[in-house]
Amino acid sequence: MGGVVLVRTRSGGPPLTGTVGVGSLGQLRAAVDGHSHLDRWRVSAGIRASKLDGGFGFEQDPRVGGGHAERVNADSEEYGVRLGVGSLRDRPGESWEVTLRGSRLERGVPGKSFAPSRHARQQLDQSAGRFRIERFLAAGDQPIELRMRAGVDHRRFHFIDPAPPLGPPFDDRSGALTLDLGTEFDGVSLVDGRVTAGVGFDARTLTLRSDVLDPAVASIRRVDAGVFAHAETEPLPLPLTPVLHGALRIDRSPEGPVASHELSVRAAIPAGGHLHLAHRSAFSPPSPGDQFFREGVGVVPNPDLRAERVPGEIELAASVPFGAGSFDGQFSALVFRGDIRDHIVWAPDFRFVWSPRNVDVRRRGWTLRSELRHPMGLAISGNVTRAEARYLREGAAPSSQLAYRPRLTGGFSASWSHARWRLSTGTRYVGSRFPVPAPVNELPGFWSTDLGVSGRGRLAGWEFEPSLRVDRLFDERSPFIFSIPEPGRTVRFEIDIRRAP
Amino acid sequence: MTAVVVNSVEVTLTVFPVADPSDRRTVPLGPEGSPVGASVRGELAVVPMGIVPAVAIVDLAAGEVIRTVALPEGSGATGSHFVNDSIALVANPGLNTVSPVNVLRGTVGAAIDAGRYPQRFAESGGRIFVVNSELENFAPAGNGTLTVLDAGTLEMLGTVELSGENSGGVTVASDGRLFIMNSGRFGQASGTLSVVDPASMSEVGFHSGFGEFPGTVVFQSNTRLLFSSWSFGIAEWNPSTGSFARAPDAAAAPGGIPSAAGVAIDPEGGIWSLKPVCDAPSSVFELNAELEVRSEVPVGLCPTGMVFTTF
Repeated sequence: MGGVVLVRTRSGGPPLTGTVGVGSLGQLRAAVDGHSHLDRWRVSAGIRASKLDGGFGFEQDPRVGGGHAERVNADSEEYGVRLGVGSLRDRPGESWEVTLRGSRLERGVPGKSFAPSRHARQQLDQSAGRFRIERFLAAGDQPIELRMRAGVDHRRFHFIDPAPPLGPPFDDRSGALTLDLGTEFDGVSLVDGRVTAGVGFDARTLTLRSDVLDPAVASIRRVDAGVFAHAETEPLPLPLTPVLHGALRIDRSPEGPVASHELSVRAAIPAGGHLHLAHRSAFSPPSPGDQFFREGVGVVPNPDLRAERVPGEIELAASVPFGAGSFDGQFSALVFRGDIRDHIVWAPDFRFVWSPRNVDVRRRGWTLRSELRHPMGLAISGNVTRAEARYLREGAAPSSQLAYRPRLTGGFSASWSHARWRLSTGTRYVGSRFPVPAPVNELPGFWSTDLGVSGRGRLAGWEFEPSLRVDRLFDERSPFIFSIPEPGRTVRFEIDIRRAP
Repeated sequence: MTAVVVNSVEVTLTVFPVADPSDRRTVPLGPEGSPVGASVRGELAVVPMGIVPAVAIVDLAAGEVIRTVALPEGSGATGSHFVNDSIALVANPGLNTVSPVNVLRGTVGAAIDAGRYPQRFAESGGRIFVVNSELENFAPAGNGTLTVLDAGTLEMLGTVELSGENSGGVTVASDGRLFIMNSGRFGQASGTLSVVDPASMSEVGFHSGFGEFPGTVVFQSNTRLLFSSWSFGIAEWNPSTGSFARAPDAAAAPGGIPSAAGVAIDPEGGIWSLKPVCDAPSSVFELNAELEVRSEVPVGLCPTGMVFTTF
């Protein structure tokens, strides 16, 4: 048990904040963030470091032979730096910012509980730069906002295991370079100011190189670009004063031009509630993370991996406030329906070589949520979600739920705030799920409970915010993924430190 | 007569009476594993669990796993063989050993040394032959071998050197000779067949031309050796003449698919092939003598092995 002092940066907030702390499993963490003004510029910088031992004992499931085992090679170290330069935030009409980030993560890859990897290591180096500018362009009574951005992101992955539990040793190096840029004009006033619109474009290139690619495929390169436009009305002089929103996007992708849209209406319903109805489609190209995941005996990226698409999704949501004695509450409900084409999942072939693949998915669901608040600082909430996501196979009825997608999730939470103290607790339910792409070998659902307490204090011109958090309060050990054991109850002690105003 | 199909990706067995395939049951083996084959004896099935170092013992009549027996870490459990009603040998290709497992008590005896990457068994003439693929890092590091054990004492009697690489599938002829399929190397169409005399523990025949990565091999009759490949379907070789009745480049394509995940023969001589589908529910085909589909039985994802038993 120990404490982790977590420093959180706040833009425009205190000029210097810090975090120090410790926690279970040998967790150490520290971070410092600061910002200052240099003439007409705002300069910010931050540095962070964390370390984790990660080892613990657990009982092996009898379905893989039972017995006691130790989780080893689960340590990690992470370091990051950030530097930002930008215009002062209190200068209207223009803001710009350049941020540079760098991080290194080095960790053990402990493998499956029944086939531990005692020597597998992973290193991820990331460096990124981003430029953003926002300007207001005078155009009549309503200024138009111009937003431009450009970024570069370079990641290097190194996976190595000289003695894996199964399969040949590997020492794989991969790299991903992403370049993106975009421009948007927003706040364009139309129809005598009754409609506000925006238009823009963005583009992204992704280049992947990897030792695990077929030598005939030197790299995977993908270019995506799109133009988009959106518009929203002011509340219309109609019953329920609806607000209409529309958006259209056309993407150029290796799969050909793709159009996606959103049409929605938001209306006020009696007693202060809201109703929202939307129909939308979506397009999402593969990311570097979709191509790199190590599982099973072999791993091969898929150079033919296609973008995910939602041809048409419909969503209906409603929220209504209510009162219960001294409590103010809100109840909301949402239902949705929208299939996914070419959803990206990882799966093995007959040689147990894993690759990302595209599958079609039938997707339906609903969410119910309710919360209550009392003037004396008490808040209670609950939610339940049922989400069906089933494989759609050609010529067959929708079959089983996707592997490791629980159909039912939910939870309850309660918190109490008084003066400088806050107490919170919550319990979450993860429903049953299938570990394979078929409705067999089902894993049971489970509950887990957490507890948190925090306070605030001031000393010598500094503000302190200590907090204690206990996850899996009752030492629940049920794993979400069968082969990845849970350590049970863990504790973190955090202290935020910031310069008092 | 009951058929037992191993569905590798979904980690289950499909069990059905051959006379009435509509009476199918799915037996879940566990949340993880990569089983590719099974051994059966009466009501019991032994299923090595691949990446899970364990073997599942299944009561086929009850349709459930009655125990899962842990094997040494790093086993890679692949391949099994019933020595008697209570003992089954399980191959540990990751450790170059085989383990005797008491399927009734759920205990594991001391490991027995084998060659590199043992993964199949056959029994003939009072001897158990362990087929060693001789792989290092999943690539052939030499020709295949057989480790010979006494079927009664499990004492090691010797080693048989084979002339082909990546030895895997094995079947026993009516005269007791062993026919071993050497799969060769991926992409090189270097499949070969070794013939071994169990009495002399020596290779007495070696034949080439068995195509791209052949796997399962079975006798449908004394003159009809069938073998399958994911790359070409089902081909046929006549051991009497030493020639192909259906060469790999003219292989049968059950269901119009020029590929097969395996081929099996039931005790009554019926021919079965496994449909090579791993990303969706698959099936097994019952074939006629001409290797044409007579019927199709739905099974799970990625069927890789099929055996038959009676209880």
